[in-house]
Amino acid sequence: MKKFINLSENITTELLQGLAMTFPEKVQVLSEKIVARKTPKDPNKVAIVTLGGAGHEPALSGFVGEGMLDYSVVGDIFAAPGAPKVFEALKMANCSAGVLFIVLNHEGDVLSANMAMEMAKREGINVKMLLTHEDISAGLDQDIKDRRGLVGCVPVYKIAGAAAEAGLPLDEVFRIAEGFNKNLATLAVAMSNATHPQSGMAIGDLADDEMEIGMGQHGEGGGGRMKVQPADDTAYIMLDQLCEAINVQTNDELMLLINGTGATTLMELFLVARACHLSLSDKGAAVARSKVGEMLTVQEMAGFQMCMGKFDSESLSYWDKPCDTPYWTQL
Amino acid sequence: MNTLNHSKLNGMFLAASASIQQQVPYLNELDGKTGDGDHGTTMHRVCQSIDSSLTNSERPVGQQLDDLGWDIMSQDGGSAGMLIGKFLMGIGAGIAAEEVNTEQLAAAFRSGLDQMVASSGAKPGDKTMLDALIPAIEALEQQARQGASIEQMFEQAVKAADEGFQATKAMVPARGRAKNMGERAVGYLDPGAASMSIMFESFNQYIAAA
Repeated sequence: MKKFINLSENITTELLQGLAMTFPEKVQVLSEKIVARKTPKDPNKVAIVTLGGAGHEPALSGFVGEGMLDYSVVGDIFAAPGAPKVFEALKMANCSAGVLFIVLNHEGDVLSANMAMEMAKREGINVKMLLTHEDISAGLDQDIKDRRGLVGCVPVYKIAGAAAEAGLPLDEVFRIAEGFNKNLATLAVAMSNATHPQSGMAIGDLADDEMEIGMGQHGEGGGGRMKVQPADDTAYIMLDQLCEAINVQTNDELMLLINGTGATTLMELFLVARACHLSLSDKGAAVARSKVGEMLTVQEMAGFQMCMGKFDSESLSYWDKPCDTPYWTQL
Repeated sequence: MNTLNHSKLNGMFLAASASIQQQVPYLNELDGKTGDGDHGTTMHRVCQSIDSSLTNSERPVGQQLDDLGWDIMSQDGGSAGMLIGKFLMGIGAGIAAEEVNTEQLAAAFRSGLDQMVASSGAKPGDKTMLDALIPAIEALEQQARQGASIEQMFEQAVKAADEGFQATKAMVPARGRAKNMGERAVGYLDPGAASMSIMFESFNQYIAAA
């Protein structure tokens, strides 16, 4: 393994300190592994909390700030934070307007979230949980509960965060975010393995000339393995499945995210984005808003996650609202 | 022996911790086949909690195991860490006295298992740590009912745990990250079940020598 690290057990703490030192006007680290806004939000507005493992930077903590997240509870590399830490963050976030708790559907995250929710309810905290689960690699017939949460959490943070910032009550923030969440679909493709920075182990066993569509957040296997395809062909295979998943129609206003997972160049990501735009316009659908870049990475895994969503006028208006976080700034 | 005291119970877990810590690379490697390669790292953190929590038996046993479970859950060890934390809290909640007889010991382990199952929702055959743990605890209960000694209880439990662990090889995963590999995970052993099997092997060795 070739990585610039110090002691492997200190990676998470050190990276969070580095984030806070780089963006001192936006975020701070509380209680070692809870990333919070530098200037807390008005307690009359709904607070947004999320949790997850580290090693996916800039996600999740890079989206803490005005207009998006209030608190991000971090575990260790690829590992969920324990329920006691999550409960601590829910207590910090507790305010008169209530808390929206956004959780990616992964075994450890959900387990920790459920335990923390039990503790929070016992404490009388007004909190609602929203589960993101937009990975379609297991197949469209799959129970929603069995789909993983991938990069789709990021636009959900954006829309929920903007609705909260607008002063909407918890039920409304939940309704708007969940409405958008239900119309999201993501597929991931990988062409090289990631290395676990603590164990030094390669995760997965992709051969040099192979790629795999359906790779999960940590490089775990999931779907179709094939010889490496050109950018256009790869984009079409994935895009067609996404269009089917969210039932894209003519005149739909779509969101398109092309999220690099760590070792795929922006050059390649733009080729993929181009193929998507051309193919969607052939279908008569319009990409209303899009983003290309690294939002949620998997160490040095080469590949990307393609995420598509459908806007309605409400979610689109919240997408366009300003935000000011380390890795998503919008005027 | 027909009873087990607090200090020996601590000794069992400390022995298990020592063995598991020697197997960290092996557990990471097993996990790398079907998951994300960090089960050994997670177990290492669990073991560090065990080592620092069970140094003495001054507090009541139930309280000590409850605190240990909470401490393990605080280690950010993903689902395995949280489930093992629940398991220990469950043993702590179900243990009847500082010194327990065979049936009380089996009942304490059953209480731990029930807590873990309630949190995880996994079933036997899902290719998880439960596939080693459930048969092991059933063996403890069966032996206790038949009037076996504590040595005999663990001798049978380790066999059941190991058989359960070996059986995970043929299973299709239904929980955890391995689930997404489906049929392709067949042929690989489950790392969580490996940890449980190592744990019972250490319990047995400790009890046999105690």
